[in-house]
Amino acid sequence: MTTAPPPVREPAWSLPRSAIGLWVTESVISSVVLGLAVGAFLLFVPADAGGLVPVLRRLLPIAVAGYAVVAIAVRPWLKHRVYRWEITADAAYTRTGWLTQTWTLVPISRIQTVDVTRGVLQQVFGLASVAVLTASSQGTVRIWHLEHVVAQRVADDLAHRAQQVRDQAT
Amino acid sequence: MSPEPTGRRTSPRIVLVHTVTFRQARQFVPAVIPLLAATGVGDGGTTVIALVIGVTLLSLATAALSWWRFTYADGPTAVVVTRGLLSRSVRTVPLDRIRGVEVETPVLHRLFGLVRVRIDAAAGGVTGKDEEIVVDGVPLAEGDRLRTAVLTRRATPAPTGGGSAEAEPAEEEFARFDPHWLLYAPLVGSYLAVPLAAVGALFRLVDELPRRFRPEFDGPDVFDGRVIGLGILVVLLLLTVGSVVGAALVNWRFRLVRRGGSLIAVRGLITRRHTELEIDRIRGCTLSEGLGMRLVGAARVSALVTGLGDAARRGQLLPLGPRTKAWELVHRLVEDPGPLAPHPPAARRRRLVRAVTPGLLLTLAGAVATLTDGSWWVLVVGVSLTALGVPLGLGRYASLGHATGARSFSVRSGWLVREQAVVERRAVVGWRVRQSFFQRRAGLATVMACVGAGAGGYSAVDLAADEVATFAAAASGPWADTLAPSAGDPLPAGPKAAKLSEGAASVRCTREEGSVAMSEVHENQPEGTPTWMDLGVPDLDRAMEFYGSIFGWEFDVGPEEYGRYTTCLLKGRRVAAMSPQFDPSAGVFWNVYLATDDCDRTVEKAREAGGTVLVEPMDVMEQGRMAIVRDPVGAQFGLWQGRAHTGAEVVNEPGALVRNDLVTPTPGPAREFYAQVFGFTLDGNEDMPEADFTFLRRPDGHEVGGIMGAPGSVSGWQTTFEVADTDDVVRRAREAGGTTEGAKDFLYGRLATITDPFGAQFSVITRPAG
Repeated sequence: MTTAPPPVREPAWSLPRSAIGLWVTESVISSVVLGLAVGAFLLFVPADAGGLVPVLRRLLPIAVAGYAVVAIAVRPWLKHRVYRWEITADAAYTRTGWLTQTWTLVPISRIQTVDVTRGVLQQVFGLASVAVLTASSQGTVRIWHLEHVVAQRVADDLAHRAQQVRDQAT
Repeated sequence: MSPEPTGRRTSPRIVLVHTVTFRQARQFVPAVIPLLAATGVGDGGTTVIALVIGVTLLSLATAALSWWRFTYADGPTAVVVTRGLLSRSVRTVPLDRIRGVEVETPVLHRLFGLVRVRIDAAAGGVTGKDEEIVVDGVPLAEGDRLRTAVLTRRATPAPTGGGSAEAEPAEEEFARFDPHWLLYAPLVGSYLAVPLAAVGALFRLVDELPRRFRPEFDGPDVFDGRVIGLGILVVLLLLTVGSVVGAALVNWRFRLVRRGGSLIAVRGLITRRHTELEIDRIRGCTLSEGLGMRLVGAARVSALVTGLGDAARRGQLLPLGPRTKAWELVHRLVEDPGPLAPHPPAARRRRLVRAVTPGLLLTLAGAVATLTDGSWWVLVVGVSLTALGVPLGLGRYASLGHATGARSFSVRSGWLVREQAVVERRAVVGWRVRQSFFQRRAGLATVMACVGAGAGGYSAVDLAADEVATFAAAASGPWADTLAPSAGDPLPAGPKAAKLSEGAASVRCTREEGSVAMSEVHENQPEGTPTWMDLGVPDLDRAMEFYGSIFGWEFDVGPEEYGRYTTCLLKGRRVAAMSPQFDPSAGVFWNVYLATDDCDRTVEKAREAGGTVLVEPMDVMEQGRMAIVRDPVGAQFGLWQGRAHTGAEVVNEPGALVRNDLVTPTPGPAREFYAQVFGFTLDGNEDMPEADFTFLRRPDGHEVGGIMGAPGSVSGWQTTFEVADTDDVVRRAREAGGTTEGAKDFLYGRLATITDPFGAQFSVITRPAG
């Protein structure tokens, strides 16, 4: 193991396990869509067309199959290990990503808006995301896929605390 | 004196300007050209003339219509603009959202004595888009009046004799353009693009002309060396002259002055631009030097202004000038954070690898190609790209740097255009740390300071991973200590240890001498958090001896009249208490107090949820208010509403409380009770699937403890203290008369359960390093 310790502290909480189910479902959907697109390509583009077509006919199915395996069988679990979140006394803090990891920290005093969103799939899995927005386009903390009640409570709590300590210096 | 916010109109003369420039009719042009091309222009000139007249009339009509439908009003609180050809749109922008006003005078406007006023407003809320109001075509005096009225947030009557008559605050000149600086222009990419764009436009125009209108000439013999040489010479000359002319047009008589609380930049030959920025909103500057500019020591400076859209153009403070002048200007606006520190050697390796890799791949492909069909040129290109990659990588590494100062910080990166940002610490609204797979292996990370101005974020690229937290804290505020691997946890926490570290949450981390992270608590903990411990024992002196020897506690023995309630201190800070008062029927145990904001209300809730109140709420002098409750499964705990006494002042470090868990044979009713009384959420522990363990989380998501279902146990709250070395503590506990089965490795660290000489049970844990 040559990997160094993480550069910063890991946020305390991991996501509920149902997030894995959601990610798997998302990957299945995108794999099916890609598979259909490649199927259509194989079906409708004549095999004897010139250029890159013969190469693509061989490469595309392999690429899609590879994507499907990684996206369905590997990535959701890796993401579940990486995605973490925490609300500390004065900041909201997350880690996201899987190969490239990103830690985002926003002080509660600089929060401008807190959003809770529930996509269709998230509703199926009883999940919701919390987005914490600041004056900077880069300074957005997104806590993906929390249980809906937890997300709502986190958002309410953050909004309430932000109101109390808001700092207009930005 | 404030003018009533009735709608004002722009000058009718603007209709002429817009007719000539086809401002509104321009959108029809793409439709007309293919039409022309399709039908042909015909043999006679009549078609052309008819077309010209038609288009002009159309242009006149649309220009007049949009003039007629456009009104603006600057009221005492907002600017209101009404417009729209068919549907009416009214836009109201509150004055306090307005960030700047720009008055510009394009050449045609000048002919008619008109100006164009642009008013920039910050986006409302977080929709992201900035707003801009353009009032196009008012007389110069009205433009000045509008600018002053909007910026001073009070309407002043329009001076009749021209804008310069009113008394202006004293001006201070920050920068003035020296025509010599135009010589830098050929080395600046963006100015070089001016002639290129002009040539490009010319070619496109020629391309769009019908074939018979194109000038015919014989193609020159492109293989003639002289033609090539001449061509290159012409192009170079064209580029040089074009860029100088371009720079002169844009920056003519550039002046940057401070007037009151505003910075005003005026520039331009044909279109005179007048940009005004509020100094209070400036959060920093960027100084950028392109590759060519670095050769001659030139630089440009932009301001980071909060809430200003299109900052690249409007935030520009010095479009082009000598490096020294540029730095002078930057330091006038932002404090100098000091010289840049270089990034670690691993960053140089990474820059080199990234610069050389494409060349190497091409070389490899070239080698294959050479072997298979003898086409050697790919190999040559690959080798030369690889060779060029070396200076590129080194150059990119040399650009990297960061510095932190008392009030500001700085980061620098980029090679083609090297940009150094100097930003005020207070401007940072967040941190984003990124680490790719390769960076992780190299022990590097890229840290972006999120700023609500300029580009939104400024990065220190490839910082040493272990410097990240220190840099972030030094470049913003104490809140960034959250990033420190030791925040609230003296040991670098893995994911599992981190979970445990939150046993007593909401700790504020402070750094003491010797850089040992302490977890101090200075205020009341949020409701439901374990905040205090006490122990009733039959022999206080013996207890002090035992706990003093294993935890290194000191004791502040209370006076007789308070029952000798003795506070246990760790380096002078309260961690727990002991007293010789105890109920022999209940046995000896560490009693945990959970924090509450309202002791009486929580007691009521506990009663409703099926708990038994053992001690009704009572004030403990001015220290706080307490109660003792027994839950439905028979475990006892206290409630503490802190006033002068906020509970344990130090947690999560050796010798202090780290965790509390309820052990019970009937976890079901216990879960219901604590969820109902404290609003805890419950979630299972995935790390221990075989155990019946439930985390208790506060409404804000913090875990405060757990409920462990253990068949055959006696219900009770178990306390865990952190220690530096479990095995050492086990040894000392045995020596001091305690009993224990010894230390064992547990999921979250090395754990031992100890029974003190009086029968009170507690656990100690050493959390793993690394």
